[in-house]
Amino acid sequence: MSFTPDDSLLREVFEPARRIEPSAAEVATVLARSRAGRRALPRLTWASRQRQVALAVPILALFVAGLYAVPTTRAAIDHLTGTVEEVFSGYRAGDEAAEPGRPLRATDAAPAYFNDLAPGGGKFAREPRVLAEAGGYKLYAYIGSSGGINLDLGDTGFGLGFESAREIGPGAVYFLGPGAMRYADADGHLPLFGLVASTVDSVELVYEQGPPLRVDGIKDGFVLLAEPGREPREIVAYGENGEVVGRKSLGDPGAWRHYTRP
Amino acid sequence: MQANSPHPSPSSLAIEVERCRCGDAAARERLARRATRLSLQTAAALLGSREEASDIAQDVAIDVLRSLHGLREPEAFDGWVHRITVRHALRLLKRRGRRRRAETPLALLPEAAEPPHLEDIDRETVLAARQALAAAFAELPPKQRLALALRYVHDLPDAEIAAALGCRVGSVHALLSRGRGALRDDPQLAELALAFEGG
Repeated sequence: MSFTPDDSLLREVFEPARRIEPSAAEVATVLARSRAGRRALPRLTWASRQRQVALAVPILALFVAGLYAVPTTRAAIDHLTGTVEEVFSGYRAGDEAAEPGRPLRATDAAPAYFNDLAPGGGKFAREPRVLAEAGGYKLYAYIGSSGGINLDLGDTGFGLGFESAREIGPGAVYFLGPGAMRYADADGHLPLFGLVASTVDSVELVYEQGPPLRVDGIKDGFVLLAEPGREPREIVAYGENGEVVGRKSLGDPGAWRHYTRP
Repeated sequence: MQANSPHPSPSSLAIEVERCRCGDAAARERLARRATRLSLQTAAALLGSREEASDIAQDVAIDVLRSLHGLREPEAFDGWVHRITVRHALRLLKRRGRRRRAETPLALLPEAAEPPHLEDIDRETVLAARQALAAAFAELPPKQRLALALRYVHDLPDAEIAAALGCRVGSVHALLSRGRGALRDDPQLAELALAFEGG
C-alpha cells in the first residue's frame, strides 16, 4: 500500500491544536508579567495553580487574622500618597472609607453579570462602584471573586483585571485606553478611560491640533470624549491648585487617526 | 471582552500594534491574547502537551509585548510571534532532550471533544489517528515538527514557514517532504489512512 498523509488527514489530526484558546487566566498572567519586572511575577503553570490552591487557605487565614490584628489605616499606605495604587490599595483591602468613585444607582444600567452569583456564594461583583462617566460611557470597578480589582469599561464591552493595586502602578495617572471601541461613535467621540490618584483634581487631554479638552472635578477616574482626528497626544493631570501632578504620553498622535470612522 | 478575529488583515493588525504603542490597554490585551493563542497552538502541536505549551506561550507573549516598540513591520506581527515561538520551542526541546512531563494527551483535551470536521469518518478513527500521529510526530526532528505544525496548524505558506524557521524556502520543502515521508512509514498511521481514504 502506498500511503501519503494528505493535507486533510494531517489537518484533521492537528485539529485539537488548531482549536486551543488561551484561558483568561493565562492572558491576565501575560499582561501582568509583561508590565512587571522579569522576575517579579511567576509564570502561571499547572503546578503553580495546584500550589496556589494549597496555599490559598492558610494565606486567607493569615489575611483574615491580619484584619483583626492590624486594622487597615490610611497611615499604612502613606508611602503611596499621590498614586493610583493608593486609591485602589484601600479598596482592595476592604477599607470602606477608601472606596473609589460612587456607589451604583438603579439608573446606572450596570452590566448584568455584576448580579451573577460567584462560585463561593454572594454576587460576582463585590463593592461595585462608578469611577467616572461622560457621554453615556461609564467606568465601573468591582472586587472580583478572587479578591482582585476589576474594571469594566461599560458599553465598550471591555474589562480588565488586576490581582493587586501594585499592578496598576505608582503614577498619578493610569491610562486604560478606549476599551474595545473599533471606531469613534456617531458623535465622533472616542471615550478614553483612565484612573487617577486622589491628588488629581482636573485632567486635560492635549491634542496635536487645536485646544485641549479639560475636565474638572475628577475623582479617582475619568472618561474623556476624545476626537481621534485631532490626534490626542498626552493626558496631563492637575492638582487642586493647578499644579501638574502627572502626565501620560499617548504615543504616536497620528496612530489615533485609525479610530476615525471610515 | 471582545474576541480576536482569527484572521485579521495585516493592516488591521498594524493598527492594533499602533494602538498598543499608544498605550491603549484594550489593544494590548487583544495582542496578548493573539500572541498567546498563536504560540500556544504551535507549541501544543509540537510538544503534544497543553501544559508545556502554556509555559512556552506565556513566555513568548511576554517577550512580544515587551519588545513591541521594536517591531519594524507591525503588519508582520504574526510572523514575528511564530519566530519567537520557534526560538523558545527549540530551546525547550534542546533542554529537555527526550524527557517528557506527565501530561494530558492532546488528543483527549476538551478542545478535541467537538465533533470531527470530516463528518463521514467516525470519531474513534479520528481520535486514534490523532494519537498515532502524536506518537509518530514526537519521533521527528524538531525542525521537521515545527515545519509541519506551522503548515497544518496555521496554514502558513512555505515562505512564511521559512521566515519563522530562519531558513530558505527550499529547506522548508525538504523539511515538509521528509516529515511527511517519516509519517508515511508509520504503520499505525498507514492503517488509519485507509479509513480516511475510504470514508
